[in-house]
Amino acid sequence: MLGRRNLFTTAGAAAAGISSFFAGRAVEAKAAVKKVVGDVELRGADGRLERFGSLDLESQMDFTAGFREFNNRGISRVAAQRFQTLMKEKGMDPKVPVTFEQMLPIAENDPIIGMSAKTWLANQQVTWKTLQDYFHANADMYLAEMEAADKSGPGSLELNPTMAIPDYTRYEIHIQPGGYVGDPFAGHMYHYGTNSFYIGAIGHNEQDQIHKGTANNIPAPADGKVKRILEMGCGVGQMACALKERFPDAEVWAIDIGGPMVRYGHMRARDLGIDVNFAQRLAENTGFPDGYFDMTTSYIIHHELPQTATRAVIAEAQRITRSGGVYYPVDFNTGGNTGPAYGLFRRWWDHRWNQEVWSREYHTLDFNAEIVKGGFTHIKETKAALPGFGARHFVRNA
Amino acid sequence: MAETKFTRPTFATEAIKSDINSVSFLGNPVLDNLVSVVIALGTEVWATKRRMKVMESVMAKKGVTTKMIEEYVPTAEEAAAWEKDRDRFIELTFGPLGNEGTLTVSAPLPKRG
Repeated sequence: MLGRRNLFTTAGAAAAGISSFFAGRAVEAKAAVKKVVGDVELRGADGRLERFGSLDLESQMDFTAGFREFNNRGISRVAAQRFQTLMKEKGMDPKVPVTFEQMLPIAENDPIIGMSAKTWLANQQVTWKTLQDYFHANADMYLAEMEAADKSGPGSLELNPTMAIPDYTRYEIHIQPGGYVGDPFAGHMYHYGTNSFYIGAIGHNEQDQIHKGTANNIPAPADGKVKRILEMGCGVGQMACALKERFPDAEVWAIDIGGPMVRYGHMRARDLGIDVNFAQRLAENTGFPDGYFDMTTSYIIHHELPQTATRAVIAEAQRITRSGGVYYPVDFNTGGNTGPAYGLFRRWWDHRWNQEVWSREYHTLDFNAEIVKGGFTHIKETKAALPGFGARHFVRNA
Repeated sequence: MAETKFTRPTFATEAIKSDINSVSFLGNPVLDNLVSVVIALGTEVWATKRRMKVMESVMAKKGVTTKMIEEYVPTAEEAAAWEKDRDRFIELTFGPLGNEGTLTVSAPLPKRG
């Protein structure tokens, strides 16, 4: 992975990442690289992002990122128009929100509507397969790289290979092969795959721009004391790293159920020279002492949890956050399970076929109310830390 | 691709597999499969085109310019060989479009003689 280097943290460097997703200008920074023992960096890096290990993989991912945008702006619009036509034919007003049950019969056998979902999902499968094929074909090299990183710092890594893994975490979310627990390169695939997702959704994130922006927007406790920070369900720890960069004196922890996820996250943080403690633990059973953290956060995990787990995670957050400490779980706005028909169709196949297994449960939850019920006060005047997502600034009650 | 045998600890566990390959969005699973094939082919074609661009850029730095490539005139032997290869490529990729597909699955063997 990335060698320690003079990181691109300026706006100019971020813009460099934005202007060219895959361009390999990191070669310019090579002179500043101090190699880490066991580090595999075959083709240099673009700022914080190591370039893909082969030109073919880079090009394949370039195609799938481009196709995703093409789907969103082209095929999907045609499908949305088709939905309107069909609804009018059935005497329905396309502007009136419908339920899943009303929407599905319209979509069920229409090839134009079906094509929008089919092409998006087929592209998603190709994205994952090209990544998985590459890392599996080079498994020994990349596993050895992680082994070399496991016990070195900065930061630390705790793996718990015998821990019980709840079934709800075992699904292949986003149809990522093996999900977050079932493939040794889950972290590698997730990191590169989600970079592609971001482009078509909320912007570029190759330099962790979105995580950094979010971390910088999360309010600190009113008393200004930030000694310890936690990111629950950290994935590959991009927000935990951004929080450590914002609060360099704080002890930062990042936990996730996926062993391969925290392993990759630790390796990447280490290579970036960021001191974060990664641990394979459950968000609803963190093992930290009562009131340990000044800030407890998460980044888009709750829509991947059943409601029972969400409530358990909130209870755990209440236990481990100190009085007056901040709880900020970044996630989608919840808005029930009705909506404009085509948007609802996309939500349907995202849930059913893109394996957002728990998203329907999440969307029927009044997430803010659950957190208040769990012992927090909602600070409503704070803007959303991640624009377009829920404003979730909560303070733990005394 | 065959299942990978790992020789080092993986820290992975068993996942609950998705059934994405069982769904048909287009009313005919063959059509669905063809769309998957076309997108996969697109990925490979673009990877090849992009590699060519990289090669041209690298060659340009070594004195072989894009202009030289654009203006290159194949020899008669090259032209004949490339035409033959083009026809083979077209037959391989688009030949099945000409299949009639008029027989049913249960159709008996045609009578001989």
